[in-house]
Amino acid sequence: MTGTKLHPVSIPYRVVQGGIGVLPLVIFGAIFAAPVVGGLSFVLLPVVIALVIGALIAWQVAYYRRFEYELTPETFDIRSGVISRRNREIPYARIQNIDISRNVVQRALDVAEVRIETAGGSQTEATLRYVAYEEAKRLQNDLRRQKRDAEADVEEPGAEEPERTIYEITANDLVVLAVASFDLRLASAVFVLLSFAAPGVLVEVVAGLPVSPIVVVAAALVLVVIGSALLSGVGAVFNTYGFRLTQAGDELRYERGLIQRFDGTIPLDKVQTLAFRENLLKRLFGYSTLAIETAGYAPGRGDANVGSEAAVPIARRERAWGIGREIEAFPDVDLERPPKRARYRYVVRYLIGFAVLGGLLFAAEFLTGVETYWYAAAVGLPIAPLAGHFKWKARGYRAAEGYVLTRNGFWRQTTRVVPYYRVQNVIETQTLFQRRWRLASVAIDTAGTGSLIGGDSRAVDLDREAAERFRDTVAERLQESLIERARRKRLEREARARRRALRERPLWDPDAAALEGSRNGERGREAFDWVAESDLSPASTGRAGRSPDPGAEGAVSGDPQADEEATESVEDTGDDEASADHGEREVEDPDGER
Amino acid sequence: MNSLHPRIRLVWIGQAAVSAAMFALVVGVVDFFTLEIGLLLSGGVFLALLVLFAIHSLLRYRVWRYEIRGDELYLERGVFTRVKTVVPFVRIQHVDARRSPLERLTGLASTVVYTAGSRGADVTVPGLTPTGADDLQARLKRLATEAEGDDAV
Repeated sequence: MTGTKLHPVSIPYRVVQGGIGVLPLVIFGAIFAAPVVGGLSFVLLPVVIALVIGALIAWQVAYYRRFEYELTPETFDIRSGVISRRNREIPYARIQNIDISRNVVQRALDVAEVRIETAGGSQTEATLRYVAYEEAKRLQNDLRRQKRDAEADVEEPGAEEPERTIYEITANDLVVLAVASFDLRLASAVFVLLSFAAPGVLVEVVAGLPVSPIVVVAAALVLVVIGSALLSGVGAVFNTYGFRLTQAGDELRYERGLIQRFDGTIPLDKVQTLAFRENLLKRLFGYSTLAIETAGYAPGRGDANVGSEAAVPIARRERAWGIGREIEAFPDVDLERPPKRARYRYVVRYLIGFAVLGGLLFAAEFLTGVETYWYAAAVGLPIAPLAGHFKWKARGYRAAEGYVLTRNGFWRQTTRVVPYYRVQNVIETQTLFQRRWRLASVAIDTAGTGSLIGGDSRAVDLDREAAERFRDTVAERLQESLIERARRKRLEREARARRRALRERPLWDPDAAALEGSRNGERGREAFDWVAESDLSPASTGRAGRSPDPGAEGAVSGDPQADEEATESVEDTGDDEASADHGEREVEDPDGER
Repeated sequence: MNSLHPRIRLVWIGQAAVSAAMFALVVGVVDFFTLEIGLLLSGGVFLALLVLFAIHSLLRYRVWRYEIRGDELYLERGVFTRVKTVVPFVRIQHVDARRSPLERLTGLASTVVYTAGSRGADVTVPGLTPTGADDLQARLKRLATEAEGDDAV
């Protein structure tokens, strides 16, 4: 075996890490066992601890000795496991993201954790704990290069693409971000927590003060708001300090973090949705945040910014939108607003809300006799029209050239841009109340992860006929853009085949190869996993022109000898899952009988 | 536009009876320990709920429509919130034919269509005859395979 081992420092590091987890349990156990074992426990405790530490060291040494990874021509192999051994081979084309993270201790030791994510997987495909930081960066580079070579079938394999910086956060931006990331929801959470934590004590303290309880409550409110503003600001600074976004080939990379550093990648060919997040504060300052959603996996998940990774945490609006247009060339269009009667609907809804509030307060006063100032709910009379207007104004939708745009939210406005060819299905809904106003909403579903956390592409409260048109337009454009993409891919493949034929077989007629390529390409590629292997093979000959001998085309996926051939056939099936049949540990059931 | 097999109403009313019975049971237990009104209460709750749910089932049947169009499967459903879903064949990941115990009793079956979407990831067409479900499955499968697929995601 010629694999690479982890960094030796990972042994003591993992021993300490394990010890922190286990030793308190041992000591706890010893204290509880003391009455049973008597005085013996004082002698036994050090012995047990020594044994536990010894076992930990032995285990980690064995883990280290058994853990090996290797970059083979087609796959990234990991051999691991102390008791049950596991050999994992990840085809390069399936790798989506390679993330590196380092906490303070790891930074001091100059090691890093590398996580490799694949498409469709709900969890991390492979984790390397821990390798030298240099090695982690090298792996990130090499894996990306291998992935590109496997996918794109480039002319010069192994060529390094220049990395260029797209965005770097400035101190000024960071301050704006700290201020703008203030979230009222945090304040309300703190407040709820406070009111649950010590109501009795609080009430006593408040009652004992020489000022009006209203003043005390107001002061507490202000304090909580300031406190949570500070908290969210500090959190934002810690997370995004030193943020840098670069592009290398068809991949974006970011670095961020003050104490814990993250290095991650965002594959551009897997982008599902762009989301521009602009809360009220950001809009007032003229700033914007750009987040990118990729299929099946959002990089950097598990920390504060759940969902999708911010590609541009904060930038002037024009700048953020400009970077977004570099990633997906969506047109600069104005969005259409929902009809005016949607605004009346919101105003009526808010008025009803305030009326109910006032009614409840009045009932409470009537029943308990405590002054509740229920008539204060009349403040809703001027507020409701304003709130309704802004809610209406924040909404928008547009089926533009190549992309569908939707916008929602006044406090936290999000504009989402979805390329038509990423649309999964289109859902039109009409609630009982919407029917009365002849309104309907349309949701555009993609395979992105953000949708799980409530961030859908939704055009809300359209005119009923407009909603129907919008729904059908999106579905039609999806079909059109898919056909267009397939055509473009075929042309690219033909051009590539022609070039390769010229390069490799100068005596062979390249025009015949091009002809052959177009004929085969039209047969289409079956992208569905129930297609039997035998059905798949002829379709995979879309890469024709490679060899004039039709017999050689028979070698498709599953053949361990097929180097470029195999990865190409994976690309041709076009489905991430389809590549699972290529030496992957979880082979999908080809019949799809799940 | 196709509507569902009329017998699906029986399945839905059957399901309604089960959930109404569950509710009645809970009410009965609570009543036994607190109010002690007796079986009349649980029975009343059961009947009232059953009638409500049954009406809902009948309305649901009247609304439910599906259609296989040129490039997509189109569904219309929902009593209170009307939902119309467009599932392009290109996006279909796989298709299941399914039969629950109640469906087997009434001689019906459903077809479930899966996409990679995160919201409407699976779409069920209930109220088909077993052969109808198999046909729909085969037909969707063929249409999905024929559709020029680029990326499933």
